[in-house]
Amino acid sequence: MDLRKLKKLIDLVEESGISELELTEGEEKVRISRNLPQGQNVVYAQAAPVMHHAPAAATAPAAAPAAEAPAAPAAIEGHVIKSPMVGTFYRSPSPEAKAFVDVGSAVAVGDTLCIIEAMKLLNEIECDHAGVIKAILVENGQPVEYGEPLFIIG
Amino acid sequence: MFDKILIANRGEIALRIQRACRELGIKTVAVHSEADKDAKYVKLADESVCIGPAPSGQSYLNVPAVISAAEVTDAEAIHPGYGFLSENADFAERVEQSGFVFIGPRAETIRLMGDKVSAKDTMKKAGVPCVPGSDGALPDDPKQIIQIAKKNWLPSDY
Repeated sequence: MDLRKLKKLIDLVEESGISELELTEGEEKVRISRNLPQGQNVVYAQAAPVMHHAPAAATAPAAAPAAEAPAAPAAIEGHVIKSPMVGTFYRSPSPEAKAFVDVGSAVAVGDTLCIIEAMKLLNEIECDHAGVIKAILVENGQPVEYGEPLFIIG
Repeated sequence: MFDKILIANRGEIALRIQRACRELGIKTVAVHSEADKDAKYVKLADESVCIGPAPSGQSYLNVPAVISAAEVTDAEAIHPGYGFLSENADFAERVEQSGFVFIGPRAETIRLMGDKVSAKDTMKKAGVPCVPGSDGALPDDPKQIIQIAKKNWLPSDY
C-alpha cells in the first residue's frame, strides 16, 4: 500500500470533517474512521498485490454522500447547492477573471455562483437561496456529477 | 483497442458489457440515475458518474448528460447497450461529433434500418427476399388495406 496515498486519505478525512471514509480499489480496501471527540484517526488497511490509481469520478461519489450529512462537530450547516448537471466546475467566468463568489460572499436568489462546462457549453449555475457562502465543496476545474454538492449557503 | 469506454446503460446489459471489457482489459465508466446509485453494475465499474434523477428521460436518455459524463472521465468510446439510446441515430451522430467512438452502427445505417418502410425498400433493392406485404406505407382506407392483404396472403373469399 502506498504510504503517500494513505497520508493523503487521512488528511482528507481530517480536513473535510467526515467521520468515516471507505475506499475499495480492486483487491485493496481502506477504511479510515474518526473517533470523536478525541479526534483519533483509526486506519484499517487490507494488503493486496497491485494498486490502481483512484479515478476522481469514483472517489467523488464515495466522498460526496458522506460530506452531505457529516456527523462531526466541524460539520457546516446550511442549504446545499447541488450540481444540476454533469460537467466541469469553474469558479470564474474565464481563467483570468475573478471568482464569482468566495467563502463569505453574500448571495441573493438568481446570483451566478459558478460555471459548469459540458459539451463545450458554459452553463451559469444560479443561486436559489439567499445567504452567505459558508463553504465551497469542489475545486476549480474538477469534474462534477449530477447531484454533487457544490456550495453550502448559511 | 480502447483504454476506457463509457457504458450508456444499466443492469444486466451493463454487466454483460463490463464482462467483455474485463476480458479485453478495457476500463469501464458506469452512468446511473440517483435511484440506481447503489446498483451492482455501478459498484463493479472502474468509475461511475451520476447523470440525473430517477426518471429515465432525465438520466439514461439524457444525451448531453451521457456525453458530458464521457468528457469528464476521458472515455474514448460510448457503448449504448440495447434499448435506451442504442437505436437513436441522433445520439450516434452527436457522440461521433463530440469526438467519441459510438460502439454500434453508423448514424445513417440506424436511420435507414430503423424506419420499416425505408428498411424494406433498401432490402428489396439489394435483392434480399422479403416477407410479402404492402409496397411502402399502408393507405388509410380499410378497403384498400384488405385488397393488399388479399393480394399477399388472405384467402380470396375473405
